[in-house]
Amino acid sequence: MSGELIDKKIDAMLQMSATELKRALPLTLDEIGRYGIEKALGETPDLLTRIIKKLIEVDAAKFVSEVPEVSDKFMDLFWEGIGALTPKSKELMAELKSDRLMSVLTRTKQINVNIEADDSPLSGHFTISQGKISGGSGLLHFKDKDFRIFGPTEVLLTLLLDELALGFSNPKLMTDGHPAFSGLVRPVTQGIAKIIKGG
Amino acid sequence: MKADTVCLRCHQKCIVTAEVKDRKIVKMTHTPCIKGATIPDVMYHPDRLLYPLKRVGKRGEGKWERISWDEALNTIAGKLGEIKDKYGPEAIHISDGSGQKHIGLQVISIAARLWPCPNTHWGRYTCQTPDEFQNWVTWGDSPTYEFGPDYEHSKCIVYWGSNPDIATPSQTQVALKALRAGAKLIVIDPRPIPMAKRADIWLRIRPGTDMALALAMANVIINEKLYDKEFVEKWCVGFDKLKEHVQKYPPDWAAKVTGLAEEDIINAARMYATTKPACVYVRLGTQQQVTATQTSRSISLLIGLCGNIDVPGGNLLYYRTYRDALFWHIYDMDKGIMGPAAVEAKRIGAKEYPFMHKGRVCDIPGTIRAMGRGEVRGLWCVCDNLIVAEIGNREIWDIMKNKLDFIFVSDFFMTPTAELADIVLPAAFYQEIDLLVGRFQYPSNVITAAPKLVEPPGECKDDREVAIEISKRLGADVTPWESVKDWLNWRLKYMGITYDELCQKPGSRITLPREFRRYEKSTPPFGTASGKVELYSSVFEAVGYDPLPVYQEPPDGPVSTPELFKEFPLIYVHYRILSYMHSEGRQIERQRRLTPDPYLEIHPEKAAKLGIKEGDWVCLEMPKTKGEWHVKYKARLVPEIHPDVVAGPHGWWFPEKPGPEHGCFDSNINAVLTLDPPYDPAIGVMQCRALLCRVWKAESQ
Repeated sequence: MSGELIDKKIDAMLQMSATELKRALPLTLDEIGRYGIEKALGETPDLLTRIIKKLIEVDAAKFVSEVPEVSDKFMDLFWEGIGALTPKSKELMAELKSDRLMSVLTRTKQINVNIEADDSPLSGHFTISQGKISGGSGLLHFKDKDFRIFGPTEVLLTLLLDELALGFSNPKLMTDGHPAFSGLVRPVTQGIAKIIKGG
Repeated sequence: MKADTVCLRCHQKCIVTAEVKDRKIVKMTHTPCIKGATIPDVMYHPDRLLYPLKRVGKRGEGKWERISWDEALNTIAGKLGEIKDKYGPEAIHISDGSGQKHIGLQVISIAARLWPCPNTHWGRYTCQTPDEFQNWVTWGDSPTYEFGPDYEHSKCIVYWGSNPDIATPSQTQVALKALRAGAKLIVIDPRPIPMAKRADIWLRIRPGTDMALALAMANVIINEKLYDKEFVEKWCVGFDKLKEHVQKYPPDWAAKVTGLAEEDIINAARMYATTKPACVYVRLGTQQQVTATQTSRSISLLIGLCGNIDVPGGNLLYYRTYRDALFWHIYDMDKGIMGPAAVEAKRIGAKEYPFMHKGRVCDIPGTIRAMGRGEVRGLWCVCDNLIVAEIGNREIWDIMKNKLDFIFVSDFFMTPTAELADIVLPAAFYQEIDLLVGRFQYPSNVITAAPKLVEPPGECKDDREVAIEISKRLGADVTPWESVKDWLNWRLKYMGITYDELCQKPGSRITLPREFRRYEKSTPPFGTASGKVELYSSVFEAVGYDPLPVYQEPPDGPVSTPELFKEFPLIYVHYRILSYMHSEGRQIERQRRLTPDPYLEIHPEKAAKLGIKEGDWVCLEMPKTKGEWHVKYKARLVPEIHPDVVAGPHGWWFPEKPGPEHGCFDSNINAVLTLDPPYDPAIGVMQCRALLCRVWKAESQ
């Protein structure tokens, strides 16, 4: 597997029907994982964006419900990739070291965010700590969670691309946790979107 | 022993002093109103519920058997489990009333996550939800809410549809201080409330036309260039669109609509815009209507135009203040709890009212109708006298009596609602449990621990403990709330302190500093979709609501339905009573003595035409239920009231009358109102004030 081959596989997937994608996507996600997401993103920076857009195109909620393993595979790759690319993004690093975030992190050490779809098994989580983002599949237990973003699968994926109209104010996007976190998490998700778009 | 504690018998959360002797509270002092003084009267009332009861006759037959807590909790969990398995978690509804309001919200939060249960409400849609919601889209905050106005530093106070002497007596003391120091006062109310008599300008408005007044005031402020140009340019979006929009609403037009003098409208606009800083307190006179959300928004726009936001003496950004400077407020902790996403998506009204859903409030008329259709099967009323307090109570009575599979009620007394329950639980009172209070009392920057002062009598229990115990019996993972103490500690988790540690602090409280003009230092400046004050709402535009408030007449009224107005020539509004909180307190003698009967306020000239004298019993009827039902009140002649208006109390019942009804339909406006449309498009509230009615002298006096 090479970066060029991954790029081609992604291109091929973009042409697939939902039925074809059901077989191809889990395998491709595995292959990217074996190749190394950091390396793959280095060579194909918009790889995750293209996958997300394809999922939205084929009805993400239905797709993830029918191929539930995609949720864990995708979320693990996604957050591993974000974790690796974050230090390379000056903008996101500036946000992660901003005074307002640091003033909160001195109290909380970290901010744990769950992401949960209400119409499919898609779920994941990420943690914002000093100058660092980490995350993965599945939800953190309520006791460890500070903030949650939830709603329809398509809405969550669109938010990851920072293409959701009205952002956190979108009526279909739900949040819970102390409202103080929304103003802190939002710029981070915007920074993440820039990374996965190759910015 | 004397101990400071918090009175939770209304929203004010006043600090009061309890005198404890022989493990009983014998006296209350430093109470700003009768409700605080009568705390012991409630706690040791001979009719107080002391033990769990199980219905042994038919629903409403009044036959009860004392059972143990184990049996009660096992039965409840068993029934709820059956309903959940068969119909899903959305088939259970939890309703929290004003009694235990402050812990009721916590009970709902606990159950919402642990059971889990998406369909909960705390009576807010007929309360302040429309205002809260418009606050959110306009400001991303709650500047017009109870804790928003900074009366102390204000030079001009506007009370809009609010009666602070009755509803917020503690804050009123602060406002009076400002008035004594020379602050101007504008009151907008059809009734001669105490503040109206102190006012520089009293606008005795026709009920339901507040939006017309606000838009006309905006017209004056913009056209006379009285707005805060710098604030508007720097911190607001949509000014040009608003400027164009309000040209449709000149003061001469508003004068005809509202029944006010054009000159008074202009003077009020000038006074508010030029006497800085100024604050506005918006309350239920503008709510409870199909235009409630947009009416509140039209008033918010005035605050934005004049830049009276987050400045000393203006309307303060409550959440933002806590978000950045104070950061953690326990009230936000409670509100920020929801169940699993897939369960939350099943909230009734989620699609029709997305913003209610986002605020985790279900559609109440929709929920009650779902009960009637068998889609909701189980109900817990947490100190909620639903039958008395909710609109359309005859329909609710029928549903509760005949349709629901299982009802349990926790309360201090047997109420008409409890009479229809399968199990009744005796609730512990505030001074009998450990409390953590984020006070709305001015200044709203205090978190107080109010530890239990005395043991509850009989077997009364904390409803939060009940919610946790039911969760355990439902097999839920109750982490991190194994106990009420865990819950209290969780609420303080971001404060870095435990409940017990807080109790050890002087006054058992944390006082947090307030800062002003937080938006100048925040990113984004305001918590809205655009990050600025949205004079033109992008959120409303996106969901198809009017992005700028468009005036709409009340559905029935002298303008909308002139023919009906001939038949029903009076306009009904509600008023609040200092001695009661909603439907509570009617059985407390010292409170009842102050207001023994349900009074209908009416102008003497109107009364004379109808042959009604002071103290006569009168009947009141409304168009939707005419010929079917009417309610009775005792007439009180009020010379200064708007001549077309009659005003009555809401939620009246007679504990002394025989059960199961206890007179809950006799003098209760909810018995002649229905849950039928039209509804406010954003919040789903129906028209339940500014309603046409007719009144006649009752045959039986």
